[in-house]
Amino acid sequence: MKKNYLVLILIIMPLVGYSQITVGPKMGVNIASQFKSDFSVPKYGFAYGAAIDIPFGGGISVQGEFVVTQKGYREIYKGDEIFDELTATYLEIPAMAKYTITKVNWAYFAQGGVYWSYWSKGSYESSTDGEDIKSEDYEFTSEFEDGFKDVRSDFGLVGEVGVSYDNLGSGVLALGLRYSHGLVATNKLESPPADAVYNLNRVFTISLTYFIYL
Amino acid sequence: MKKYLHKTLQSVSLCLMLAALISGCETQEIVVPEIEFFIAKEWKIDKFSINGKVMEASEMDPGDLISPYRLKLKDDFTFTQTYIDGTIGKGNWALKAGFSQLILSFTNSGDEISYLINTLEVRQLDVTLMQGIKDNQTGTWDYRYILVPIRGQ
Repeated sequence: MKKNYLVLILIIMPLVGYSQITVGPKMGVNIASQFKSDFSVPKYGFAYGAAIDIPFGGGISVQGEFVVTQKGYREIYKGDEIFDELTATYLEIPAMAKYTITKVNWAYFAQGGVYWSYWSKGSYESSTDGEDIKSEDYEFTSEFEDGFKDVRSDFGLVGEVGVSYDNLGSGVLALGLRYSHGLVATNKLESPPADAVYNLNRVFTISLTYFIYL
Repeated sequence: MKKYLHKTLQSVSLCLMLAALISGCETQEIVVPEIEFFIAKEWKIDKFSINGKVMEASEMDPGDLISPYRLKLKDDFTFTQTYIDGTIGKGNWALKAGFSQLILSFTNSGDEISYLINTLEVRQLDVTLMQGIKDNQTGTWDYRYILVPIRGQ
C-alpha cells in the first residue's frame, strides 16, 4: 500500500514542480434561484471561504475550495414590499479543472468541474406590507411529513471564467464569474402531482480570490 | 491556437460578467390581479382555539381529529376541504370586505361559511369562524384556527 502511494507521489511531484501551489481566501456575491414562478426574482447572497490551486504545468491546474455559500429563492408581489425569501446556507466543496492563459501581469482562466454541498441552515424572511418583516428559521424535515421532505445534500456542475492579476507582490488576485447548476432537488415529494415543483439550486457567483504562493 | 483561445476566453468573460451585472441591477415588477400569492395554497391546522383556549396540533393524540384537516384553495377560486373525518367538501372561495373575510361556498349543499381573517402572512393564515357555533347550555362558541401551508407547493 505504502509502495502505491510512493509511486503516485513520484508521478505527481514532477508535474506539480513546474509551478507553485497557491492558496487563499475568497469572497463573493451570489445571485441565486431555485425555481421559476410568476413571482420569482433573483435572490442575493454571499459566499466566502478558501481556495487552493495545484498547477500541473502548461496552464493546467486543479482548483479546490471550501466555501460557505448562500443560495435560495426570492418571490415578490406587486413590487418589492410584499415578498418571501428563503436563504439556504450551504457548506460547499467544488473541485475543478482549470486552464489559464498567462500574459504580462494578467492571466485569463476558465474552469469546470463538480461540487458537493450540504444544506446546513435555512431561514425565511417575508412581509405582507413591506414594513413588518417576519423572520423564521427553516425547519428541516428528514422524514416524509405531509408527503414532503428536505434533501440536504446537493451535487452539481460548476463552470467559471475569470481574469487574474499577479503584480501585487506576494500573491495573485482573481476575479471570476461562476455558474453552479444543482442536479439534486432540495425537496422530495412522496406522491408527486403532475405539476410538482422541485427546487434546484442555480447560482451565479461573482467572486474575488487572493492566491498566495506556498 | 493559443492566441485564438485567449481572445475567446477574454470575450466570453467580459460578456458573462456584463450579463450578470445587467440582470443583477434589474428590478422586476410583477402585477397579478389577486392575492393568490398568499392564500391560494393547501393549508392544514397548526393550532386552534375554542373560546380562547388554545390547542396545538402537536399536543393532540392522533385520534383527536384535527391533523387530517386540509383546505386547498386553488388559484381558480375553487376549493377542496377535507374534514377531520375524511369527508370532502368542494366549492368556490372568495375574499370579501376588503380582503378581511374568507368565504367558502359549497357547491353540493349550497352552504356558505365565512371566516374573519385576523392575519394573513406568507406562511400563516389566522381566521375566526364568523357564525360561532351555538350551544343551548354554554352559549356561542368562538372557533379560531391558525392554518399553515403544506410544504412543497
